[in-house]
Amino acid sequence: MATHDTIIAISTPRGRAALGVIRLSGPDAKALVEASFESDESLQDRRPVLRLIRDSQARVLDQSLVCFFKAPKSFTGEDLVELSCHGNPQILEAIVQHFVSRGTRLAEPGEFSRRAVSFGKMSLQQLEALDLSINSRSRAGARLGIRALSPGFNEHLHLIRQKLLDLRLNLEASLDFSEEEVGDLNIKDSLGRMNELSDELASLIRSYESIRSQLGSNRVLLLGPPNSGKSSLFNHLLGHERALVFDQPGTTRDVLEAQLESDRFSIVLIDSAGLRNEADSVEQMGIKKSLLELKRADKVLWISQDASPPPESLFLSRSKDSWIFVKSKSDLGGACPENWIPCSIYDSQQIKRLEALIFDPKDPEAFENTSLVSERQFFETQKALLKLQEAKKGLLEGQSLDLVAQSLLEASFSLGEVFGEIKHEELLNSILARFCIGK
Amino acid sequence: MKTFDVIVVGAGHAGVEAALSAARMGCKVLLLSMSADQIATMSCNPAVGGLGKSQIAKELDILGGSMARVADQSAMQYRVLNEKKGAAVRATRVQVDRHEYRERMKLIVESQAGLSLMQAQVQKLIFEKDRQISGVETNLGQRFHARAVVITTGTFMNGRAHVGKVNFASGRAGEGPSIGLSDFLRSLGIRLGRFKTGTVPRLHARSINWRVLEEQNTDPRSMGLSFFTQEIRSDLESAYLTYTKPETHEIIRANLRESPLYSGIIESTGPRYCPSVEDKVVRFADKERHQVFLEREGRRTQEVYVGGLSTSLPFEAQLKFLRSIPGLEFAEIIRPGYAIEYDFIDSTQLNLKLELKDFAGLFFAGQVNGTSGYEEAAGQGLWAGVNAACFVQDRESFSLSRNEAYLGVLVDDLTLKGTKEPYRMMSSRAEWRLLLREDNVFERLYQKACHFGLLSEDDQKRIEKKISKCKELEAFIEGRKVYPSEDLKSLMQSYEMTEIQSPSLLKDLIRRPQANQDFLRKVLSQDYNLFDDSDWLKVITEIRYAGYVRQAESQIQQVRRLENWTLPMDLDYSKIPGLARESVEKLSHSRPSTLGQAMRLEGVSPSSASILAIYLSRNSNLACANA
Repeated sequence: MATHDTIIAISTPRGRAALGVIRLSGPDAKALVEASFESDESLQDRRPVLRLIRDSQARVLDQSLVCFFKAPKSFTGEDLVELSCHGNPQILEAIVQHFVSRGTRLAEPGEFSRRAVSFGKMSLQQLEALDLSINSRSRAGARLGIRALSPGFNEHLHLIRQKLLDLRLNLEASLDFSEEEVGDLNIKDSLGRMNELSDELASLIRSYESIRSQLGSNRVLLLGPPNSGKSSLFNHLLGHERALVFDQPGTTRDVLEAQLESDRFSIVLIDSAGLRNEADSVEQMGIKKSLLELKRADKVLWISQDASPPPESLFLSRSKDSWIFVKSKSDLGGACPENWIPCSIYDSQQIKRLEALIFDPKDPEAFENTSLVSERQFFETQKALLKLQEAKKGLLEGQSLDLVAQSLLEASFSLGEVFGEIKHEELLNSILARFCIGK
Repeated sequence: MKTFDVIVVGAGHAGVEAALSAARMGCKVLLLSMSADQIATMSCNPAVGGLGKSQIAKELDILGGSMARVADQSAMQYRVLNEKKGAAVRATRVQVDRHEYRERMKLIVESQAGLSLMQAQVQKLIFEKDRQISGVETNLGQRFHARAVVITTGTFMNGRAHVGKVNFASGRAGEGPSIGLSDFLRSLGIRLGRFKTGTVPRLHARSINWRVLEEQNTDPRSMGLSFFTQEIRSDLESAYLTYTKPETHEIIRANLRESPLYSGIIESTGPRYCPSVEDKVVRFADKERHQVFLEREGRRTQEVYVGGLSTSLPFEAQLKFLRSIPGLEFAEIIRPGYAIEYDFIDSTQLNLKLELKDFAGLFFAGQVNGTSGYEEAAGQGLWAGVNAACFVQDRESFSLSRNEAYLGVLVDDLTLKGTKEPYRMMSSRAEWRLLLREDNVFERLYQKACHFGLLSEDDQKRIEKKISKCKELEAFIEGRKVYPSEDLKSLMQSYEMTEIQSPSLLKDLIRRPQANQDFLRKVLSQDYNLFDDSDWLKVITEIRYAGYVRQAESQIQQVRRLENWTLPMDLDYSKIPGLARESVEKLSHSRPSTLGQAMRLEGVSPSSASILAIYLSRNSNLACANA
């Protein structure tokens, strides 16, 4: 029977640095590394040693700190060796080449993590937490990822799941046994439990929503009539002259986007071509792209110097809360209607206020409260809540109990998915595909 | 020496259906029973059906089984259960005349072409080389040969009955046990376990004060258990209810030391959902009273079944606690209640055909597989009988999946997970129960029944007619409108429905939970009668459940992919890197046939299942790459 082969990858980012880490995982990892240095002393579990790594012609490739992790107490669950080398890409690549020539295989993207999941070292949920801790563009996100990897993080979710189970048990018992045996289902009690659970799921969802923009997934679109100052604002928020600014309508013809980061948050800011009817064909194409962005964006800043509202068809095409109305160039005067934000790039107070609205940290405590760390978990929790509400509605409206029970069953399936209970392999593959090599 | 195609050992509910179905498929069948009088005997309550069970009886019925038909023919009382809780959990219970049931079933067995009944006790099995079964040997030294053998010994293998501290070898009260067979099976390396179950005392009808009891009439809504029953008997009877009193509980508690269950004599596991009255009193100490059902065991007997009071206390204690119950003050016991311990086989040794994985042609069905209940037994009997016939005739095997039938759930659970207590079917075991309803059973199983030749031509025609009648009803409802007349509005009010204000689709009205059949009968007046109640029930349910059913079907599609992913029988799980030790043990023990089965195994963690999936896909990729 085939066993896993041994894989290798550089685990630190490309580029010159003081240190670079190479990892080997698999049954031959230890032997291969031991063969590359002169010492007869074999590697001890979790005891780092300094060694000269040599190629097959005994040329020194680097002096590295070598640490062996014996299976199953390693990241992947297999024998794993970590080499902390000097961080010159030339050195690192030479070492990798050497091991590849000795029969090690270059790891595919996400393969270390896949092995960790496959050897039962990590659940899917932990994998997502790891993803967050490595890939989050904000400090808070990374911290959340790390916290989610630590024991006890799931306690709250487990509690909710247990409550759902208890609720289901009552209902199922009343379906499987006669009233004489188990008594009638206490509808009032069930409704009470459903309400309590709904509240808890809703608060899970809320807490994720309030950190979501800070995990780097929100898109904020600057939209408005031509020459209303979108690009100036774009540049100002970015802190450098990314977009061409000129005092003439139709200057911006294409869509520009940039990542905006701070210690707490990260968003994608998008500048777009101004909307107007009389435009040449190139400009029309730009406008079309602006409208496409309108569909994708999580939030839209409507920028207008004279505070004229967006065309009704656009306004109605998305939820009210996702619009922010900005009266631009406020330093040039003009009335600012209620619900509009006056903004001039020369007024740092106004800019600060706008920034606060864009990043919208609804709940500064949310990072401490959230139990969800990925879009997938968020989606499944929403589904669970939807099913729970369906069950509640059914119970209130006199729906038959077998259907109510079905909704609850599906709610519990969804909640199970939050924990990464794998039902089909696509789920695993799609998550793993997001991983970079060597993690 | 005479040679048969299939030999069935035991003529209880499983054995009878096994023998009949194999014979219907054209096999020469020998049915062996320790007593030729005891054919399909109801050892415990004289009733068929009930929650989670009538679905099985109805499935069996469409697959050509006899249980439901004979139950209707011998019916004494009907009850419709869970009607308000929804069509998917609705169930029918028929109380039957147990003597008539047995006599009718015996006649069916005796009249079946190709089926021979013989009184004999099997002690040994005969094998050819390669663990291939070739026949059985009786305690009289007779040898009978066949290519397939179905064992359905119920509670008889090494059976031991207990009444108080007295116990004796017995298969059922008044009948001897089957000795020798389980030792023989053990010698083959087959794993056996020991379960216990029990039954209630039977009283003399004249000793009961019926006037003080609550009467429970037969349910006029019942449409019978069998699809093929055209008319329900008119001479039905009522059942009667009474309740235990605190004194009853005191008497039982005072005698617990005399109970074999509580004195340590019986250590084997009994069914938690069908507890003895001793268990009820101990485990539900705060419950002030327990319900007691009294039903006559038959029309030509004075024996009365005392539902709810299964006991193995000494005779005197039984009499004493019975007499503390209102209506039973002067009770006379005809047969005391007793507990029985018996050998069963670990059903995870069976494959999906109910055949031993290591012994070709040797099938097991019924209570011997660790189940409880006549319906569960009969269902397995038919399953094993059909598969034994397929085995003999070299045909593809018979099976039903978990989303097709309760029988599929039953066999999948037994063969995959086995059971730690006597297994009873419950609707919550069936994750697709919204699809597995009483009302659509004919549609679910008709094609399979025809494919395996389990139905007579007549019966096939009747099912086809029903299917087309339901299609007609669907067409009748489709597009039909109802108008907001004053009559309809006041009718809707009386059914606590919000009235319609404009012409509406009948279909939308049907979607409302309050719109039951009575309501529709009033709305549609004579048009309603163009169709049967059962047609209406099925079509109404389908309209109401459509959304859920669609969702379920898309989930089934996903599951089916896992079910199609077969695992080699000789897969060495210990060699798959990364599998947790507990999972390796479970998988090696159960040897699941598909990835879907593996993922349902208890003790196989989701991560183990994904390791298995990754391992398999990697190896199948390798296989593809090499090809």
